[in-house]
Amino acid sequence: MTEATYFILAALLQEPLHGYGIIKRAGEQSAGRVKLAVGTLYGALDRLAEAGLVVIDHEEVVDGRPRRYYRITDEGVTAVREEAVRLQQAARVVTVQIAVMGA
Amino acid sequence: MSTQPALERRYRSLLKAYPKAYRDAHGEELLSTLMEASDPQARRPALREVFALVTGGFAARARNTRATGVPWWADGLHLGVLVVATTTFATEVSILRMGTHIYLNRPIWTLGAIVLMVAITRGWLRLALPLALIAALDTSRMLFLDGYDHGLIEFGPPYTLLGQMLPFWIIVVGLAVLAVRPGKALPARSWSWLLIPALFWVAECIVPAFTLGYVVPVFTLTMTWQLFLAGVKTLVLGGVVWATVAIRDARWALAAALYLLPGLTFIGETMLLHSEKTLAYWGVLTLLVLASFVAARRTRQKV
Repeated sequence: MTEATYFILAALLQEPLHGYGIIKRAGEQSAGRVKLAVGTLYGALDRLAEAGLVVIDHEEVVDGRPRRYYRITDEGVTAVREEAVRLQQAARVVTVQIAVMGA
Repeated sequence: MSTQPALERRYRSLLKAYPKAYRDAHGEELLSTLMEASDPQARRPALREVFALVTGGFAARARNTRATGVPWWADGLHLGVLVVATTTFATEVSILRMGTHIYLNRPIWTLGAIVLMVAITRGWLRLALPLALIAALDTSRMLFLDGYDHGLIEFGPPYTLLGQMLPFWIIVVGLAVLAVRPGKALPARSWSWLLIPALFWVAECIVPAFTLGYVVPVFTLTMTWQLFLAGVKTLVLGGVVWATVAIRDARWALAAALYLLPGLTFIGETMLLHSEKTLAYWGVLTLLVLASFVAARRTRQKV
């Protein structure tokens, strides 16, 4: 899973979001590190939808412009959780050793 | 004065990088997000957004070429057969230009080639397979005859090298595998594939360089043409790597490998006749195809 995909799925864990909502949430949750370009976001959403990890939740029109809200599926939650565990285990390899060295 | 209309107009132009079907389904949604994400004072799209839209559009086009309900290998095989057929017949139909007169060297061969390419493009395997077999046997007649007239009808060019005959046999074997494959029938491919031979034939009608290359003033043109073709092939195979990353399977890599196989065989058979530059060029093409397979393998499970 790429970092962008990880943060897109993470952004959708709380509630369905539309395109710009995902960009903002991913930026906040990654402390500004992940700055998704719109073209990149929609390419990733296409792949995630194809893999069954996100679906369209609902659509609305705001100021005459369409907004489509995306929702994470159960498979998506499982995938992002597994990735989080993997990252956590990888981080622990380093943090435990640094803690020992520090002690 | 608001800068929004100018920015929106530019974004709309950039969205043309995406296929029409994609624009119809997602175009307004993308535009809405682009406008929300933009600086309100901006008149021009940010460079990173331009790059993401162009690459995203290309990826969407690559995904759009996939046949639905057909496994990747069958789709790749169909693509490969189509690529081999269109590129082979583009150069294997002799159009001679003498002054203002244009001659078609092999009218029956040309007609058969057109029907075969249309049949492959539309996925009509029962028509394509016998035609391909006739073309393969005909062009390989020097293998089992000694080259003299044995009363056979000779439609196409008689080849002596394996690399010259191989494209026709790749088409036959590819079509045979697709014909016996269980499952959904192959979908029709875009008619635009037929532009490959059509453009070549038009070029042969306009410029006598391809068949009369020995004429001194034309030599430079022929070299320019060959360099142009080499550049196009390198770019296209580079595009195959990119498309493979976008669709995350090896269908385009398989098609590219089938395309490259006859050329590599020919180079192998005639190794001593080629310069180091030519060999390096074919090395680059081979590396690009290998890179496509590696990209397919590395991105297979990735989302």
